[in-house]
Amino acid sequence: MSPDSDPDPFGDDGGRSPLIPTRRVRTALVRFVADLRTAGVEVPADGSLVAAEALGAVGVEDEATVRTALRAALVSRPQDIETFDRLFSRFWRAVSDALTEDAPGGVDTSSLDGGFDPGAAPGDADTADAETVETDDGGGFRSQRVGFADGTRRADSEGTAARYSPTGESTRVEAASLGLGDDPTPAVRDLTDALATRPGRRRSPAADGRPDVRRAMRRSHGTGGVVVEVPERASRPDAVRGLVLVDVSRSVLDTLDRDFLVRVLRALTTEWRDVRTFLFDTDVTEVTAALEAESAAATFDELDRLEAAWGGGTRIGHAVTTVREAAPTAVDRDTVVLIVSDGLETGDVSHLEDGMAWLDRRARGVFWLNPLAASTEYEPACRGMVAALPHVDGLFAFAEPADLFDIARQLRRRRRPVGYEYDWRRNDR
Amino acid sequence: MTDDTHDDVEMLTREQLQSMFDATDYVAEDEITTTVLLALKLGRPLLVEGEPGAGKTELAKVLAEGFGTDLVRLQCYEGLAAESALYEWNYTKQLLAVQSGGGEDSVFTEEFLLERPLLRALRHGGARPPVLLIDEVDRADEEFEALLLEVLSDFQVSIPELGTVTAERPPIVIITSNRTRSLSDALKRRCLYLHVEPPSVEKERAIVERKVPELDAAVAAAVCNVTGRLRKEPLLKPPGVAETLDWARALTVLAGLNGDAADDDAPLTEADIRTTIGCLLKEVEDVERLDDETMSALLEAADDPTP
Repeated sequence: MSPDSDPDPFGDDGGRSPLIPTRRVRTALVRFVADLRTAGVEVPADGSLVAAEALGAVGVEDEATVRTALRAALVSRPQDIETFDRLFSRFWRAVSDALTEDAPGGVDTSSLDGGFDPGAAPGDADTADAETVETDDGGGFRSQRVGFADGTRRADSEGTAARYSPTGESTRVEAASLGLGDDPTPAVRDLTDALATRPGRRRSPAADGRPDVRRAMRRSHGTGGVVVEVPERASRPDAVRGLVLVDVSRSVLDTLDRDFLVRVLRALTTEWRDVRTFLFDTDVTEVTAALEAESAAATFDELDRLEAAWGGGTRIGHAVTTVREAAPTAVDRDTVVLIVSDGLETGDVSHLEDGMAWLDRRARGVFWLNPLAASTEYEPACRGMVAALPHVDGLFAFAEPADLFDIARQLRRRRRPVGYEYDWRRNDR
Repeated sequence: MTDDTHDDVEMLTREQLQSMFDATDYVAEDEITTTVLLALKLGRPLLVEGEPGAGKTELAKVLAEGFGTDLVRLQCYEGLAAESALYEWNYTKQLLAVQSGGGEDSVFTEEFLLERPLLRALRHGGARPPVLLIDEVDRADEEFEALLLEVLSDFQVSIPELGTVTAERPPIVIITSNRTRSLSDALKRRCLYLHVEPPSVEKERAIVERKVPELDAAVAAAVCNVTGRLRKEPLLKPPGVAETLDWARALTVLAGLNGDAADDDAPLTEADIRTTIGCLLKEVEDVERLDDETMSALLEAADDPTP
């Protein structure tokens, strides 16, 4: 930061005399990278080396240039940019302090301990706001300021979102008389077709499959019997391996017909090749076997026998963590995860974030079906949804079979944005 | 960028790169300039991500034009295989050579080799390295990414019958992705990363004024305001900069056909928007979403003098 230095770090000499990072800058950089990883930023394995190389090329004189250079070296996902910028300001303060207090080439690293401590940085508005957001008086149903209704995510935003008390009461499932309702099976079949991840029996031409000898022989007739190229074919995916997590808290059951819910779960169990289903409110119960019962009434009986409970509070993060610990093999890279929940988390949101990040890493896709999203006024502003959304491939409405048809329609439009906001019926509702 | 002082890409300065962008009518913020310069100096591929229409592909074209070198483009698609990206043997020619009794000469020589974009970029013999654009890499399969790793880390390709082909001067590599799927860590590790945000209204206006200079300034401002307002709608395919430029050119052509009979009080009318909306919206569901209420909002945005 010498005042007479060239403000352009690349300079007229083409950057041939870059400032070699001092030990203190290197130390700060390594800590910065470690903090980025701790904060969930996907930093490449050799990120520190590339970042040091980048600093060597641009110097450490201009904050904006250093920020851009390190961002290019350390960030590889747009959702990490906000975290990077937040932590960068602390890194830059540490670097500034180090360079102004010491002579060039300083080797004293002791003062850095206090100079670059992301956890102890004063005036950290984001942290303070986050704590404000998580304040909870444990009361009953109430509104809380957690985010803008337009979906923007700012810690100081002013939107309102409904929340339930974490102390809801559970009631045992009873074999109830079942309403007739619409049969969701065709919709589930349509959804299965759109989500298929596992290879089926039918094969079709592909660039990376097995040699198609029969077709190669047929084609060789045109080249005098010489096989010029060997076409390939591969199995076409037509089956789904899935994990279904169903929130049966009171807030969900107030908006979703439980007969419809059970019929959909039974249809998923029938149509998907390999599926495990868990119900959760404040506890988690696996109900896969119960859903395989011969009739819906038998399923209710089984749920009753399992002492599955309807209508407690919602602890989504706890549920995901429990599944992660109790059934880690339930999710692999071919697994599609469906979460049926309104996102009104009453537990620790950080658990939800961790759990969703795990699902996001492990599963082929994570889709959130929210009964509240069937409303035209719905915006995912509650803190549970805000925490989960970055790890979700699609947030959809879920209240009737038509919703499943629309999810399938959107998923078939490959490489197009999907979600409740792209539901073409939204304006007509 | 054709004078000798800029021969060496690694010696490029920020001012030279910025002036190159200016000369090619590419509106680039400092962040883009710095990141591109860093990629050039470190000799690393640049992975550019962003919404469609944010100017990712244009960046590679501008670099090729600015450096006065060739642009080698590899458009990725599902099922893209090595023979379409790297090299292929000319089987028909080989077959004919064998059948005509060409002696003991091998049919696996340069004569029978068909260069594809990656190999062409590595063996480029020009004075300056070419710009290799690997466009929309997220459309290709994950297996293709693995194929890219050797090319991008060592700038070489192994051809079993011929040996290893190494680039004398590594190409300038620009990889673009629309983020329809996440890329492998191995690929990202080899690249510098640049996320291109959709342009602000001010930047888009500067782009329109440079690319469509014949458009009236008031209409250009209205065009950018309307496009910006339209992007706030939950559209399946929000208009990008390319769509804005298409629309600006369409309005220019229509103004010429109508003999500049436009209403002086309003830079854009509802009729203008409705007749040319096909330039901006490419999905029937998006067009149907354009009801009277939305149209009023667009006209209000068009009349807004401030961007």
